Amino acid sequence: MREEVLASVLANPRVEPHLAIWGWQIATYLFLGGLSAGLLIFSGWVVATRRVGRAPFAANRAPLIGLIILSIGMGTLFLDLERKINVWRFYAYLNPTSPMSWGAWILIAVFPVFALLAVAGLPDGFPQLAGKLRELPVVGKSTMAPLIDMCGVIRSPLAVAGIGLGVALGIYTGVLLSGFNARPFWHSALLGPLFLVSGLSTGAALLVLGAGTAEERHLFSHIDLGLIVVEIALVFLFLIDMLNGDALQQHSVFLVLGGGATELFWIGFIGLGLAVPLTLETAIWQRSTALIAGVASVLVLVGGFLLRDVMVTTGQQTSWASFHNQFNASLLAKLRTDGENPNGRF
Amino acid sequence: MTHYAMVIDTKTCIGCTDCVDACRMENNVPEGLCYDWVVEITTGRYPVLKTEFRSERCNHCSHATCVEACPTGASQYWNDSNIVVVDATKCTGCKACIAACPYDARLIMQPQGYIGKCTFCVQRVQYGMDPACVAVCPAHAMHFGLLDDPTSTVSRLLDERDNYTLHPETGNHPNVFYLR
Ligand code: SF4
Ligand code: SF4
Repeated sequence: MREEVLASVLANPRVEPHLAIWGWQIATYLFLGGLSAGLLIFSGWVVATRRVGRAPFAANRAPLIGLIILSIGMGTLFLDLERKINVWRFYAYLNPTSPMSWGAWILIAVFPVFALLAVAGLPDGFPQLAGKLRELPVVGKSTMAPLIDMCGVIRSPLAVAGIGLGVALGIYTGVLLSGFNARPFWHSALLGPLFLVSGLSTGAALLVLGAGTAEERHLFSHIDLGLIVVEIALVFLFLIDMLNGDALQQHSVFLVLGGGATELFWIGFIGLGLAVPLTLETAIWQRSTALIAGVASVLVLVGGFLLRDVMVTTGQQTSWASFHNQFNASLLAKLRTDGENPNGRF
Repeated sequence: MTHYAMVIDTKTCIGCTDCVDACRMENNVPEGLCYDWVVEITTGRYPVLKTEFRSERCNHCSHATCVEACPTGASQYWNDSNIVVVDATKCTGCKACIAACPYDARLIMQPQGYIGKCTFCVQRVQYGMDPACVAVCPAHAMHFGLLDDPTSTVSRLLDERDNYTLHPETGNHPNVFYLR
């Protein structure tokens, strides 16, 4: 036998749970970041391919909603920082080997493009708001009106840039985790594509919920169906990747195959978040009803969050080091062959 | 790059955890936290058991994934050596480095929020002294020095004795060695 026990304490999350690396803030940030990336990509696609008339919500309203969602996500990211006063340091440095650093700079690039696309969508998406902006005292006529007009003119190039940046943002949310060799459960290049597809899928789900016309709802629930199928394939590839990985990965994947995160992963994410929406959306493939499409979309959104939550929480529990941090009575019981109760003397 | 190493003799270590206490004193480690820790490894089959103690800490990796993961440059190599330190004025507490360390050697300083870790006591090393844990070890089980110098105690011990590092498969090139 081989047993490694801590003779002193270790300031480690598996000894002190309150020292856990990332909590709900990062899971929420990854979810909202992926969701807004999905909205940005679809919005860009609709505008770039001149489908604005067929998908008015995606083209005109989604960018502003996505921008707000991304801002909330960045807010929760900020909440997670243990030393908030130094937040500006992200933008005083670029570390090419750090996904976190890339992410910070991608966010800076995404934000203005997203904002300008949102402004371009205002006149048709939120006419009242556009009107108010144009009539603002001082800046209304001199700045706002020309800005709204200019965004309308450069809308197509903005849309194309938005698609590229959206893909970067969506992939980054996965690469942020997969870049850590130190955490076996995250160390799979499949997380990038998986999180991107999940981001697209949640984006499509939100577009179904907000769809302006039945045609638009139809379009995005069809797209979402395809994305769910791809996502299921990627999830299983990820599990296979882990099961065929090294001993650490094989061990870590059991956290979702019988371990502590199993219910959340299989019932929550795979069941409610993927399988049920897949079934519902297949059932309404021909004749869509707003209610069923809406239920499916809400479930997709819940599933998207659960995926991030399970990955973030489970991954950080996996590590190269493993100690027993307390007296292990069951181990002692195995050692004793004379039948004496090992706990009797303590 | 100046190459420092710590060499710990598991044959003489008695597991007294004095190194842990010395570190707490020297580095003002907040209560409940620690930069180093002692592991007791038992192998064999009862009643023929073997015990080995291992004083563990940051491995001051030559290929430090924590430095690679840090978005702000707060985690860095000290003075062109393999000693990895954190600049508290740059640290955002984003914890990417904690996730990136395969040895779980990093922690959040409470309540300030920046990242703390073993620094090989650079404040002592820069004046030619040993780190506090090495200096205090009553069994003289710990040694510290330059691997670049073939005549140093650490180089000599590694030449003469069978030794290992923790999880070299991480690719981090750890620089805390254990003699057996
Ligand atoms: S042991 Fe961890 S904290 Fe220390 S240098 Fe290596 S990766 Fe960084
Ligand atoms: S917590 Fe501090 S030292 Fe660690 S990666 Fe973030 S900024 Fe760098």
